[in-house]
Amino acid sequence: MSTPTSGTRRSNAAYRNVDRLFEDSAAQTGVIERRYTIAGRSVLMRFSGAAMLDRIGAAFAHLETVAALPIDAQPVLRINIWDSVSTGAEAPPVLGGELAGDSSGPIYYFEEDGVQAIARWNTLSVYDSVAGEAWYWAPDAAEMLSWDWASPMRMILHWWLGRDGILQVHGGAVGVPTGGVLVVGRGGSGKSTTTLSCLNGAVNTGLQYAGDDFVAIATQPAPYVHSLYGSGKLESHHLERFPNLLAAVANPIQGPNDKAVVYAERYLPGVSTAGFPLLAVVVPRVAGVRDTRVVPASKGAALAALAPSTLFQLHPPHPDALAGMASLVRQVPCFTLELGTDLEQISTSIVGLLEGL
Amino acid sequence: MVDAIHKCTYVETRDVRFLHAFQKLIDHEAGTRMQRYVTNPQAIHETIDGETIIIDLSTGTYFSLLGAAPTIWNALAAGATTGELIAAVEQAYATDAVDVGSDVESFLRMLEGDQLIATTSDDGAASAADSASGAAKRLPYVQPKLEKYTDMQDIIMLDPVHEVDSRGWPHAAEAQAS
Repeated sequence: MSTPTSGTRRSNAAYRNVDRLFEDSAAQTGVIERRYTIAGRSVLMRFSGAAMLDRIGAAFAHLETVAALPIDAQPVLRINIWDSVSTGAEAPPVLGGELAGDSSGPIYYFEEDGVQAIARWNTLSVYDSVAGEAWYWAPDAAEMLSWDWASPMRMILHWWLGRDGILQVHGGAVGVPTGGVLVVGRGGSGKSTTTLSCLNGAVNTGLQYAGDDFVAIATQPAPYVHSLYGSGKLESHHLERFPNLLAAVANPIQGPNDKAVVYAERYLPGVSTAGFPLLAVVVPRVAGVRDTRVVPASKGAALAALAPSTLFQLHPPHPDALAGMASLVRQVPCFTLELGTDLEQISTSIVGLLEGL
Repeated sequence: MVDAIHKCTYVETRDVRFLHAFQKLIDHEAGTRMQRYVTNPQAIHETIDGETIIIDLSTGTYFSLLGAAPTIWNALAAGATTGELIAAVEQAYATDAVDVGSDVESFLRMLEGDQLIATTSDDGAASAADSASGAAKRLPYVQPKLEKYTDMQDIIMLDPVHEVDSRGWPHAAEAQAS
């Protein structure tokens, strides 16, 4: 543990209380540091106490930087993470105004002078683009819903990577070191079934796993998938279909909106990847027949499957996000994956697709 | 003689009325053809391989435009008048024996109904139809089609709603520091 000194911050920033609350908490608990490489960039996460590390650290474990860094190596992003219950810290103030028209509960959004903040889903995310620093707080690490801790800090990563033109998209990704596919689709389309099937069959196929719900995409100089989370979310029917994954599930499902979380590395060490070149976009569709088929899809259909669910789950949408996603689907072939009932065929179909590209 | 004069006057009067009515129709038609529109600034759009995807960020609704619709939409976004929209479609598609004007008008009403466009009196935009290539081979005409999807609201509602906890967070930012 260590308690490094914070960098210089603007004294009159509206969010300074958030920073002060974290530092007060850190002074009490000490700081646990972890370094990760996310989208090829060095990120330092500073946890006040162990509770939040225990809760969300596993989602990033496959991206942890284990090699010794030069002593002067500076992260491009520092994220300060804490909760109130485990540390006794005061809850931070809400920044900004309440957004109207969202059905998912109270949302407060703040943007000023290079600082963005959002209070949503009972967590607070703050990102200072000038300082390269962020804060992530939850009231109680133990009470975070699985949905939240499987894909934590999405907004911070969205804001941070968006500045470099890297898009966080709603989709899963599987592949091999030489290339893989982005799996996109609306809820119920079979997106998670596809990625979880590939995880389930990885021992036999050699496919690697970059995520099941949110990944980051670079479109230049060539399409590339960056993994954000080494987790997967399973609904109860997934547990029935992929019983092998059950042993790696980290939590029981606690309610109708809750999902079980599986960490890919706990299921099969080495199966996760930090990323790969993106060779194709795949849009799954439940076909209701035995065999799985891969058929060409229009680029418009792929964009329609990718863009709306991406844009509506991130706030604010990156101004060039739609154009970026259109650029992506223009650069790679797009396919419909007609999902059959023989689940083993799903991963072998993707392997066959990759071999033919 | 009186009858003849009366008849001539009647015919003349009837013709004048007809001409006035015809002129009014022409003026109305010309006015309609000169109508311009503005696209909803919250509706972001991309056209790819002959299909346009429009996403209305203000409502959570998205649309797929098929057939001749992308040609119309892109001309609309470039500031075309109704007449220019019709010309753009006739230039891009083989529209013999097709009432393009009626199709374009119907499509415009659909776009207005979904608040994707609104009429404007601003006539400062450049002609979009002029930019189309007259030498390009015309495609088989397919009526403009607008498909509407509202399932994103369902996805958003799937997000778990966290209750405000006993400490009342998010709370009013009385400590929002000055």
